Amino acid sequence: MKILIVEDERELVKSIVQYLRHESYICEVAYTAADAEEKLLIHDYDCILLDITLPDGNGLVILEKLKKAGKLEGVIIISAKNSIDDKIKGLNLGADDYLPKPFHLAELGARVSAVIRRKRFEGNNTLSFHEITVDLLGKTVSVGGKVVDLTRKEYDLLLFVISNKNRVVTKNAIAEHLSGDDADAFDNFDFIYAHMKNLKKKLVEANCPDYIRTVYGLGYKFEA
Amino acid sequence: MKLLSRTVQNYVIFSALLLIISTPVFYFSIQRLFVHELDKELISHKSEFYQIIPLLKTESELEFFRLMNDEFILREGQPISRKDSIYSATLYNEKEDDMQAYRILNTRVEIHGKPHLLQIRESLVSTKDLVTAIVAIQVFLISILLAGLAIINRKLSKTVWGPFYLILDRLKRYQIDRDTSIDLPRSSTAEFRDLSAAITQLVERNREAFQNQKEFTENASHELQTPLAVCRTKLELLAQTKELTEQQAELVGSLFHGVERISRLNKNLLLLSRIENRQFLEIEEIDLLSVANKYLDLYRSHLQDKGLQVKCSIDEHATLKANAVLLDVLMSNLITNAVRYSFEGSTIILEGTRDYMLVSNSGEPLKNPEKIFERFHRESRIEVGNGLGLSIVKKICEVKGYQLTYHYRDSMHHFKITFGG
Repeated sequence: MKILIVEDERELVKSIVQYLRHESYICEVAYTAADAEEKLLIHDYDCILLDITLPDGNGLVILEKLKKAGKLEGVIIISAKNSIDDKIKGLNLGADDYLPKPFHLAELGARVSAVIRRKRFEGNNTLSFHEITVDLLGKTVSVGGKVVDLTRKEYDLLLFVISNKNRVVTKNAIAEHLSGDDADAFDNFDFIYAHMKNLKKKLVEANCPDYIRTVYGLGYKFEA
Repeated sequence: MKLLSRTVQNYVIFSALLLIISTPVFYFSIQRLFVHELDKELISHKSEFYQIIPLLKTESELEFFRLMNDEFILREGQPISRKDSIYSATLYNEKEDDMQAYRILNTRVEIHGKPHLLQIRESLVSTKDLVTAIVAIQVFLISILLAGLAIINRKLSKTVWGPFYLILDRLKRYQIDRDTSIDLPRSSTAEFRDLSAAITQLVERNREAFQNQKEFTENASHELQTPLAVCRTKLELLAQTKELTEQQAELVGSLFHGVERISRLNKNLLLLSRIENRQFLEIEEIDLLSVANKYLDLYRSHLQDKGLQVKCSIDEHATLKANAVLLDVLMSNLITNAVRYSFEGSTIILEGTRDYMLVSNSGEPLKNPEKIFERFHRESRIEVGNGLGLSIVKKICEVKGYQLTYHYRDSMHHFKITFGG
């Protein structure tokens, strides 16, 4: 699966590439709008991460060109311009998602995999990992064919860690994913611990191996 | 006291003093002048009488003269001093049947070889009337002068001082965070022209400083965003390293935590300066209850952790026209604040209609309640917040013209926002 990252902040690009490589994505990078346009002419991508503010032009212009070319699917706008205006404009032009900077790499990972899932597996909206099957439309989880009764938060949590499997997901990233932008204002992640404990218990009760490992002081890791 | 009243007051005091002092002085000097004239007249009457004496040859002629000139009185056989005397006295006037003031000259004359007392009288009545009339006219003139002064000053204040009051009015209305420049009236008076120029310059410099400060905050936090994001992502990558020991993982976790706190602080500073720069202008119809429910839902886990109850009595149809982002921030900050500082197991009260919203939570009374909305003010160092939440709430209220009040009653903190206006 090919991803194009259009972003001028080189250090950020390096981090994104390094993080997404775990998922066996092939990442290509464009640091300028011209560079991006050239690459888009030649190749097709499964997902495009598009920064709005580029040194040689506005990312929204690229978005418009993509729309004209009918290659809109899979565009995630990443922007430091945390203004609603950009978000509305971007989504009106047909971008799939909008992720304001600064973001957690785990959050980006989850969004990218969601976009790719939507694109690749149209009609068949399930996600599997060994005996776990997640029905993305019905928002249900089953282990070995048997439905596990999860709360919405637990479902979100599981989907989030599966989307970032084999990588450590920090508590902050989970908190922000579950409770929105202001969740970290509490500086208290006990509630994540509680949700995680319940989720693990329910999965184990459904005869599922405990794939969620606690990384002390940091967060959690979903791995086989 | 107004400038005009102060000037007029001084004029009035001076004029009144002048009036009080000058009236008796004027009165007495005029009277003296008149009496002096009368005395001169009496003396001339005396010399006239001397010319008449040789003509009065018989006793009957003398009697005739007495009857004809009642201002001349002749008496015989009295001890008479050789010196003349002049004095004022009040005597009975037979003709007018009244007591009257007179100026009297007593002198000794020899008629037919016999010494006589000659008394010549002049009435003082006409003199007194004249003096009174003159003083009355003077008082009248000074009064007119005073009234004239007052009227002229009033007119002057309207015309000459007009630009001054206009400048004052503009200055009062000027708001550094809203108005771009101050528009002062042109005046033909040099002083006011100078004043206008000086004020314009001052305002311009202040506005520049204010603008710089505003831009600095926004630029600084904007510029901080990227390096912070890089730090954060690098730490996230570091967390992925396979060989990470438990000790290292904890270090990375602490670093991550620190970077998160800086990011949040930075985000709030940026938000604060964006609100100050009035970047949130879109207005839409918003349902207050659904906003509250959104955040109560997001924070449900935190509420449960502290065993907090929520009593939400927001009107179901409480809609108001507001900026969605700012209303979200208001609601989220107030609820976060309530959750953070409530006693465990207590109740948070939310009330609201289309006109106001009230968030109440339990807690210790504040040591410095007047500082509660100040930036970076914290009641104690142990607190977890960054000290910006409530100042953001206050800034939003300021910018949007909402009224924000805080009070502590029945062991509860009450934050009330009155919309309206």
